Parts: sequence; C-alpha cells; structure tokens
Amino acid sequence: MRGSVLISAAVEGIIDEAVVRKLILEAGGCPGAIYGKNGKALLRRLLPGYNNAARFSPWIILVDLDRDAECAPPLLEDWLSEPATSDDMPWANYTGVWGMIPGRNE
Amino acid sequence: MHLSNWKNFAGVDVAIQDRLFLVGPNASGKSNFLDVFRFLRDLAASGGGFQESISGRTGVTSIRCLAARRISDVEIHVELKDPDQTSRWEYEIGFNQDTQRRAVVRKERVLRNGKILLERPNDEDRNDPARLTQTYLEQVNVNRPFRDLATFFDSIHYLHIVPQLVREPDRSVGRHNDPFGGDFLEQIAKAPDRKRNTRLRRIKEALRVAVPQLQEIELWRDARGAPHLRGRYQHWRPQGSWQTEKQFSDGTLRLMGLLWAAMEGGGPLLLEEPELSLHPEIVRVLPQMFARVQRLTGRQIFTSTHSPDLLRDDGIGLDEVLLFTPESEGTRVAPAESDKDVQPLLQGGLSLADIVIPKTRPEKVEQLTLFGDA
Repeated sequence: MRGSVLISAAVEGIIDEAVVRKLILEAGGCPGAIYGKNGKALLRRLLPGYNNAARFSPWIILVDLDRDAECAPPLLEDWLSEPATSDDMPWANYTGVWGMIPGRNE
Repeated sequence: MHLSNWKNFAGVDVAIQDRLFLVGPNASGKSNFLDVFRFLRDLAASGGGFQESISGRTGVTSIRCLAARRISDVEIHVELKDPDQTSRWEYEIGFNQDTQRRAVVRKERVLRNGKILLERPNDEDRNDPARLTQTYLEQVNVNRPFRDLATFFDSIHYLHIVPQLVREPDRSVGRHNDPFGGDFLEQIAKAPDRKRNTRLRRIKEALRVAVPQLQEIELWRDARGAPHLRGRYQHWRPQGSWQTEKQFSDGTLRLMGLLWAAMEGGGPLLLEEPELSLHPEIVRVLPQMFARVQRLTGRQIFTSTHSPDLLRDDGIGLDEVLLFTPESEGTRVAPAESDKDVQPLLQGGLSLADIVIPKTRPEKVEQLTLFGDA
C-alpha cells in the first residue's frame, strides 16, 4: 500500500463503507478515514465540510441516488454550489470525477 | 513528553496541554500512554521506586516496545513548568535490563531552567554499578535539589473506578489509594470532617442534576465501624428512603468517584473512559466540568475516551485531542491539529467527534458481525 494515494470518503452506512473501501482499493488507492455512516440526511448536512476537505486531499462521497435526481450531476448541482474539483489541487495530479454507479434496479 | 520504546510506542514526541483527550481504537495504547505518568508516580511514591515500578509491570521486556530495534533502551523524557512559569524542569530516565534480567538505569537526568542538577551514570555509579538499580528520584537522601519534582510526580492520580470494588471493599484489603476504588470509602472516611462535608455537599449538588431524586449524601458507619456512603432518595414516604453504595447505580458511583478526585489538588488526574455507565447528556458536559475544576485546582486532567458525546464539546481545542493510530512499527500519537483534514472539516460544520471517531476506527471492525460463524 506504500506510495498509493490516501483517499478519504463519506458514506451513508456501513455497507456503503465496505463498498467504498473496495472501490478505492480496486482503483489502486488506500482507504483513509470513512466518515458519516449515519444516514443520508446527515451526510448531506455535513457535505460542505467534506467538500471543504476535498480541496486539500482526494475524497469520495458515495450516496444513493434514490429518486432525488435523474443522475449524479444534477444531484451534485442541487447539493453543492461549489464542488471541489481537481483544479483545487493542481499539485495532486488526479482528476475529479463525479459519476454514478448503477443500482440493481436500474 | 518524549518516549522511546515504551510499550506500544517506538517513539512519541507530543506537547501535553492542561487537558488531554486520548482517542484511538481498542488496544492502541491509550492506557499505556497514561501508564507513563503512573510509572513516574510509582518511581517517586513512598513505598514505590524503580525496581517495584518495573516488577509491577512484569519486567523490562513487558515494557519495551515490540518494535524496538538496535537501541533497545526504554526512555522517558518529560518537561514541566511551574504554573507561575518561574521554573522549567526536565526529567529524563532511560533503562534496560542486565544479563541477569535485572532492571538497570542507563540514564537519569534532571535539569532546572536548563541547568543540569543530575546526570547519571556518574563516577559513583561507575565504581558501584549496583547503584544503577535505583533512581535518584526515589531516594530522599539524594533527591533534595529536585524534591519538588519528586513531590509533583507523587501527586499524580490515576482513577478508573470499578463500582463493584467500591461496593465490596473486602476484595481490596490493604490497598492504599487504589485506582479502582477499592479503598474509595476509606479515603472519604479519612478526610477531615470539614473537607469531607464540603465535598459531599458539592457532589450532592452536582449529582442532583444527574440523579434528581437524590436529596442528601453522607458518610455513615455500620455496626462494625465500616464506612459507607449513603444517600437519601425522594420517595412517596415523606422522609424519603436511605440507600447505601450497595444500591447506588454504577453511574452514580463512578460519577461520585470522579467528582471526589476532581476536587483534590495536585498533579495530573488520569481518567480512563469517564463516560462509562453515564447518560450521553452527562458525558457531554464532562469536558466543561473538567475545565471548571482546572480553574479551581490548577490540576491537569488527561482522559482516555471512546465517546463521541464527550468530544462534542465546542470548547475542546485541537491541541487537546491526541489521536492514537496503530501502525506496523508501533502506535503513532499526534494531536488532532496536525491532521490536514481536520481544519477544513471543522470549518465545514463537522464536530470534533464527527471527525476523530472515524479516524480511530479499528481496521476490519465489520468482521465482528461474523462472530460465531465457523
């Protein structure tokens, strides 16, 4: 794991935590602290904090889309007016990605 | 405080504030960190001393960090300041074991305001190596130039009340200042009347917040003369009913012990998980209570905790929280302020508890849910 990028994350619950850890490992990163784990409402309330931290280090927010939006970008627009991007960390040499993982019913 | 090879820690170098909250996974070394202070107390305490302090911890090999490599001496180096900032003390001790597995002092230094008062091994030690089985700190005939330091170490107090030991003091017969509360009732009984009554009155006032039915607390002796704490609880009978410590709840007893110790002056008060058995709303106000006690007594308070409620207090500074992170080469200890994520997360509205508890999550904790599977 030495040398790989430490990636923090925030999730809704402990199952999502397992998923995000696996995702980070699969991508060659190293899972850092995983925050939240107390439901979607809390995750949304604390999102500005995570977004703030994401200006200084890589983060993943994993959240169920449910029926809140058609896909990830409009949801993001609704939730965060100024999402952190890779431009905040030109030194980090990584690309900010906002994407969607299809659920079982989609 | 600087440590080398002490138990979980290959190396530690941290500033010690007046109030410290130690946060980390189970078995990451929070208690072993507090044990450094207990070790210094044991060195300086009457009836203590170097050999007793080591044998009480089952020998040098049990103390030495498993990650210790070529230089295997265990070292503790502490710096202290008088509250009025007039003196700055340093105490440094390094030890190991000899070929007969006997604990020996490798180094002992005392400095006051940068001036060396003691530096060992000295010529006398070289002429008679058996002298290195004792520290100068523990010897009244040689510690006079730094007696203040020894007295300070002796006043360090560790508290981790086990309610059942308070209720059954016979289990701890002969113990003095038992950190687990075995002689708690005896300590209360031995306090001068006025001091005891004042403290019990203050404890009653504080406890009435947590246990509103409690109307009175007093020391009471049974027919054999054994001391007991008893409290009068509000009841449908006009006079209420008296109950002794045998009937007090675990939370009530632990809170009583905590409040009693908090009112004593002296060196650092070391607390293990003071949140145990207490309602979260009471736990939330403990940091404020500690701060208030400090203003009154000047006492430092260091506490280990797993409680998000305890860390929810806005008054806790980032330099007051020490994070314990187990790594392959021993546990790393660092103040929360040194973590680059903490500041932006706080600014974004997270509480200290929201931030530090996930950081100290044990790895693979989810495996516990599978407990019992073949």
